[in-house]
Amino acid sequence: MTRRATNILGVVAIAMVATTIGLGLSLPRTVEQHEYSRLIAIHPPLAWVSYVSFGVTALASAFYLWPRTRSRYWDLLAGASAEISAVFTALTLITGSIWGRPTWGVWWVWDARLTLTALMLALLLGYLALRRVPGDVGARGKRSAAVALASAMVIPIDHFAVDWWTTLHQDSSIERAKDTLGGPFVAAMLVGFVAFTVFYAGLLVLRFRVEQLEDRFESDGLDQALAARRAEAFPRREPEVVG
Amino acid sequence: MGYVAAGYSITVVVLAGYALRTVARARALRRRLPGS
Repeated sequence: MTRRATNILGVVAIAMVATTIGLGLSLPRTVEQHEYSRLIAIHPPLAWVSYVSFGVTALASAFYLWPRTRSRYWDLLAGASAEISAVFTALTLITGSIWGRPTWGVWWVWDARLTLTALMLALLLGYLALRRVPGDVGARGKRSAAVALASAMVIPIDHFAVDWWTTLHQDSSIERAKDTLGGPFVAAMLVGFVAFTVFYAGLLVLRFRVEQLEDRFESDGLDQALAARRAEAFPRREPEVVG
Repeated sequence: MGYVAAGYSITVVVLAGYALRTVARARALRRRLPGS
């Protein structure tokens, strides 16, 4: 992606997120939740992007593990998306907790949805730590990809937790908004889904570049270290001057 | 309004901070890698 295209994507993403914030904060108060329903414009979209970004990590990991499609590109993409996913998952937990305090009366409860989202964050942080373990690049890539694929199982379980178990967390946000809150809430939430997805795409382009540069820096550093060791082991002899 | 403001503020600060940090990391690496 060219620098110009990246800049355009960034401007569009910022404008869309700003629109979401404007729409969310201008939502009317509701009888049931007063002004706290306004968090609907950001909390479900943040959760959605946390799933999408972890899904991209899992998909890229599958491509890396498949011998026919194996390429360093997929490994770097998986790592880039996982870091963004960790940020969005943390924000999902924080905004959910902020919403829960005035409506449920508690900051946190060991409810299936909340617990699984916390587990998802722990798995993402573990995956990112695993990527930092020194070693052969190929072996590290395969190990990380296998862990990412296994960890991604938490996504559907977390999503359907509200249907499978009795939870304090409400069921599907879209269905609930349609049934109880009305058009403006659904519209703000849908704009939020698109806005945060576009923002994620912009972040992924930036983060992927960092991943590529770090990879190059690491391999250049290794080349320099090997050259230094070779120079130590086999020092160049100065030619003897005859006569 | 405090909870709503807190939710929106934290989201904006974290996302903006993360985006700026990522841009700064890319710039720093480009400076250290000649020819990129």
